[in-house]
Amino acid sequence: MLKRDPNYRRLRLSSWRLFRSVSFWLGPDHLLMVEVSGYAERYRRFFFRDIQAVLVQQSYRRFNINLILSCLLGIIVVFTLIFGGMGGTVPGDSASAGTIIFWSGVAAVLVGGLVINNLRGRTCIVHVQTAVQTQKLTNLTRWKKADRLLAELTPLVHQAQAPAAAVPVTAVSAPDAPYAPVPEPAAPAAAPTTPESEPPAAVP
Amino acid sequence: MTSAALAEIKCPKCGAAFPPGPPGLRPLSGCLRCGKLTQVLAFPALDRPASRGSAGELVVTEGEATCFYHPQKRAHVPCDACGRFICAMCDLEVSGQHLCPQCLETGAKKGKIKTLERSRTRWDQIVLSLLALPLLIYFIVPATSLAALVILGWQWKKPGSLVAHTRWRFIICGVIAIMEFSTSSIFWWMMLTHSGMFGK
Repeated sequence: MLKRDPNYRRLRLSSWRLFRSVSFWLGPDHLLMVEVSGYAERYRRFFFRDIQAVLVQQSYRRFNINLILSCLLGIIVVFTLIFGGMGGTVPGDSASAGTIIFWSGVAAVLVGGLVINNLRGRTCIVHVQTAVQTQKLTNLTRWKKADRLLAELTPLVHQAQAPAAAVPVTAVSAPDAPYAPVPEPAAPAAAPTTPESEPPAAVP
Repeated sequence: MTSAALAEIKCPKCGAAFPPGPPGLRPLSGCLRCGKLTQVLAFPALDRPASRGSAGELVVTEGEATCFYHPQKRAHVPCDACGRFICAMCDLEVSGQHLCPQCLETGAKKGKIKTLERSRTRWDQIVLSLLALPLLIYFIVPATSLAALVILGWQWKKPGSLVAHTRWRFIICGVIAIMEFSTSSIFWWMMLTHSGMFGK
């Protein structure tokens, strides 16, 4: 389990939807996205050395949620004001008062939804681009959370990519100059030989 | 290793390329084609040329170690799993390990290489559903609780979820399954004996 694994740290970016939840974990050399939907758990790993870019794109999700909730709220308010509650017939009667209280409760829930939706901030869609794919980070839909992810990810990716970026492309690796001499770095006299640098032994 | 064309950042919505720029956080700007506001954080890997795999070197002198899969090619590294010598073309680096294609395939199939694992089945959720849903259709409870117990026994040692306490869920489900099975069996036994189906 990842919670007990000291190599992994959970990012506070998790979110829940109906029948689906997503959590993000920072591993030693990768970002792990765990998506649980129904009876399956899917994993996506983004290795820090492979991440080329993170794109945070504006979405209209907040506007759409606001629109739907406002429309519902408007309908309830109009019906409550005009008809004295959807179930009531005569204003002032006890049944009518009960329905007004009920629909006021529903309206309060909708107002609460509107407030929460706006307090959570702007909405966005986050994509991670690597050399072979551009993957959407599911359920990461708020700009605040995306900022938090970028703040966590940026130093790690820079750290993982710094040595590779510093290595110059040698002449021998270029296709047009295959036989150019490789400049040898000045190695210390008693440098230990690593198993990788040794030539492979003969097969018995 | 040969160089290739540098990568470019493309708009995920319309596929149009963003203008090139230095690595780092770029200011919020609209896509040139669809106008979607996008914040781009570019990393140095974007400017790194994509490397192409090596085809492996041919054997030059007699007596040189050769690749297990390509006898005409020079051995590059031994496989970290099986120890066979492999050439640069067969060398597959996964999580810092050098593996031959066969070991990689076997490891991926058996789930031994964690980084290649892409999904797992949540057997604990299946068992929980088997125990909870049939309560509405009470007459099939003995069968479903028995099925839940069979799955528990079958999946007990298999790797569980990465994010949930599978083993604890299994234990709780096991207790519920035994209770469901015993009570429903007693219920059915009493129903059948009192109905006179088995006589007196």
